[in-house]
Amino acid sequence: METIKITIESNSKAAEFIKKYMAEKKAFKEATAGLTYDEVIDYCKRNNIKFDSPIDPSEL
Amino acid sequence: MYKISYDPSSGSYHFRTENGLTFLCGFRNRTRDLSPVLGIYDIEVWEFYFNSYKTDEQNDSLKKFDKRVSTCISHLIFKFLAPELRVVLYTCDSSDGRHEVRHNLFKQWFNNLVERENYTRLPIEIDQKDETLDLVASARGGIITRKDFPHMDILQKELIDKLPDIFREKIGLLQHSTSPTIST
Repeated sequence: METIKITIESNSKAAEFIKKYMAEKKAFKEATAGLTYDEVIDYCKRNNIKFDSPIDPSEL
Repeated sequence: MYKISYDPSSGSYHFRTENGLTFLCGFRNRTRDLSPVLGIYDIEVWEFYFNSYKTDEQNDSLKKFDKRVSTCISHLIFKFLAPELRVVLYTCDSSDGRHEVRHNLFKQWFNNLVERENYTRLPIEIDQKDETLDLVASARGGIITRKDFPHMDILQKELIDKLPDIFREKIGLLQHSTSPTIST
């Protein structure tokens, strides 16, 4: 089967999205590998990492 | 189900299992990074992340299957999907080659849910292979919406149809015939 080299569409909005998405996720997972939960929370604080919080805590 | 707590400092939700693991779960709103057309229809696309972390009190049964974990994860996702225009996007980590296992586990979780009839899960599978370079790259993931999500056509056009290009950019080389397999 033919294999081709894809020309990257660097102006693709969606491409920018997943590139950023995958890179951030990978970086976070690698940085927190082997840490305890408390250490992960501390890592988030030190690096100013904060998830968005779409669920009201009272709904949990 | 385990008790789920909210950590305001990180914005994450977490729960602790009887096996001594703590699961950290988080959402990120990615809508602003996507096509503005999604915004016109008030569609919100959010990334969902979860991972388990050890605690000082972990025991030897860490690998034991724990049904309450999937119950907690799905509870969070379904709470998140209370507004009908929200979309969850997730990917399975492939760094250790176990993305297929994670993908199947997520599918199993979803299929076992009593509430699944009210939701739509669109699994995404992309296998990319370059025989010349003996290179194989894979990506697995999915999209979850409410069954009554009103703008599936827009979501298809503005997000799902663009995913092949997105993953091509990530990896660079692939076969012509490779495209996402999207099924319900």
